[in-house]
Amino acid sequence: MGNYNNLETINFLKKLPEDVVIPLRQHKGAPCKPLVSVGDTVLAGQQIGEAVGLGSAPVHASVSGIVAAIDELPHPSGNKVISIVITVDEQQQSIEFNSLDNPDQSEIKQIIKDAGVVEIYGTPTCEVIENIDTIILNVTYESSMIAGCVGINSYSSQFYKGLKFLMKASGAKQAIIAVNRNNKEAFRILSNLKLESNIRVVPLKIAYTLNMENLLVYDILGARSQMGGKSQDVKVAVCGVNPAYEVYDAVVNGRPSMLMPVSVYGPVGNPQSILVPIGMRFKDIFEQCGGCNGEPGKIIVNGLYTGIAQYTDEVPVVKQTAGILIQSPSEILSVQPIPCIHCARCVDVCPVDILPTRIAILADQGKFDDCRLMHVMNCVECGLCTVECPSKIPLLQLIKYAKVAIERAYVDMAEKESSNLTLGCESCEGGV
Amino acid sequence: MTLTISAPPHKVKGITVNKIMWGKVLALVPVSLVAIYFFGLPALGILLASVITAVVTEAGIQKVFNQEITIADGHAVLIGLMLALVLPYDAPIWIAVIGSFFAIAIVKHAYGGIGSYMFNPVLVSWVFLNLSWTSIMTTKSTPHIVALTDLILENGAGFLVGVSPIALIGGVVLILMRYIEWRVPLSYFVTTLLLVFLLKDDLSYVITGAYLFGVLFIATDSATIPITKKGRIIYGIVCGFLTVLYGYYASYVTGTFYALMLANCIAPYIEIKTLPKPFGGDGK
Repeated sequence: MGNYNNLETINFLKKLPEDVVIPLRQHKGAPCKPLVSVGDTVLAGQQIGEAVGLGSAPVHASVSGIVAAIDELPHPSGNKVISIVITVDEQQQSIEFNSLDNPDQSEIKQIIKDAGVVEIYGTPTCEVIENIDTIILNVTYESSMIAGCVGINSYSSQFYKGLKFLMKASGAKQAIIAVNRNNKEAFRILSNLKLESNIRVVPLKIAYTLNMENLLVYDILGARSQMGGKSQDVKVAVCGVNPAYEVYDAVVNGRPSMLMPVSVYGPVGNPQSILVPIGMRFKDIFEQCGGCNGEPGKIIVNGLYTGIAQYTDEVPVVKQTAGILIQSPSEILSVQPIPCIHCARCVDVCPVDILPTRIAILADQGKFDDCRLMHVMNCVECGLCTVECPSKIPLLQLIKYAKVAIERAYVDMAEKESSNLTLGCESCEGGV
Repeated sequence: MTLTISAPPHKVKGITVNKIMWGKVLALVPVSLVAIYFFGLPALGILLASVITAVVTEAGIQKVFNQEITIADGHAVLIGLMLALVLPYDAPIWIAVIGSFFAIAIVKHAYGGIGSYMFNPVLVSWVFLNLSWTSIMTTKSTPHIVALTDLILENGAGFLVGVSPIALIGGVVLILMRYIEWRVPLSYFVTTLLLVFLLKDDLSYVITGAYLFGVLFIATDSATIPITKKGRIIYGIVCGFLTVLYGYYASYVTGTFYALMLANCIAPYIEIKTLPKPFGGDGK
């Protein structure tokens, strides 16, 4: 494999792409309402999508140029989403960014909301910090998603101020910074920051990626919120490094969420963490990173164990993108499942104490009610069971299948982003 | 450009069922070699007959029932080898052939094949042979570990496996490599030692090759143990308790095998009684 030294610092783009694709849905809620039409000239930082209801965050142009199209285009989540295509112009003008001097609590909240800051799991930051008394800042990462956390190395003081703004906006009494145990660099930087007494650093064993926020809260505070529910239920907000930095940028400089650091990992000329405008297509990013070595076999967004494989390299970077991973055709996994030998390796690695193999067998037989009794909804979809399985059974896929089926059948389940899985059986509307 | 799409995870560990099975076979090679060295050609005959019968039986059954032939996964070889090791050195070849056939055809495949059987095939087959041909299966001597050298080479070994307890060290290596899980052997071993100590029994009759073989290789057969974490500890304790119960009043060699078979019976019950508590709100 190539040289990965460039992943731990943030590199900058040498040349803007010809056009960017900005999806109007970069959050959990409904897609934004477009505020521009084809042919309009937009400036960088200009709001182009208006938030619609809860879970929705405004979208801003990341570059200046002319709106070339508004259409349904591929999105890294796997679905097609209404997006605005902007042809990049040469002048690159931005709107005038205004900031307030010494804003108060409600003003900061409003600024965060207007800046369209969204957490990596899709909830707008302004909604995450409602009604809480603790903020947990997640600085744990899987190595292929390192860009989500390297901000702490490059912009530690800004990030720390961002965290304080978050605390002020939410009225949180304490903040906890969760760091991978072996991330020595982060500990060194944090100890140089002279943290206030109500902010502490906690070393952790594993990387807490998507869907694992409630587990993170439990492992640090021992507070159990319903899996699939929100961490706000126990008055905790889980925030990322990049949103904290964006909060700082929004409050101090008045700039909305426009740029995303992403790590590019795999067989490209120069793997690196690179700061790109939101909406930059993957193929343009690969070009900036020295081009792919040979045809890529698989492009994976956000992590080896949980990431989504893309069907095209035309998809853009959105606010939930932290890592892009390329596998060459020879690296692509191809396995033949064989019967379970009950070795219990999946049980031993499961972070939420469920029995993956038993649930997978029940799911395979369509016994979803039994899956529910075995607490399948607690699964955080970390994928470790499938990684460990010597029989190569697609445990995670079967568990997700059961979860989607149960969510369709029971109305009392917690609200979740719609899934792109469809079940063959439309006739059973559920046993309610 | 054609891109492959599939569900995550996109990379898995290199561990496979084949590696686990062949790893166990490899761990049993040293004790087999010592047995051949000590008992000579009859031991070699028993080992070969048992392994070959197991492989041929498995291939034959899968051929007849039009299933994929899976002899390459090493499980049939492992069962054949393990069965040969629990036979007396002077047993006739046909005992090995019948035992091996019974283990594979009846106990493994009639109960659903790899991963599905309820009882360890080696144990059931051993009990079957022991009840049917008691005079042949009764060993002429009982192992008694009185000196350190007996751990390396035991002159009183009745079954092939009893010949050298130390040669079973491969099982411990497999536990350290996580090819065999650790909860069952540890709790089994500790429970046995504790009970033997409390009953003031003679430890030199306990730490035999057959007992260690039971702890490291038979008790850890993953298809026959509970999968819950707590369940595996309890299972080990039950194994230890039953072993001492049999051993205290009879022999620790045969006691180990009967105890493990009884423990197999209650493994599913232990599992459903130790299902983990839910993580979320209703588990407060």
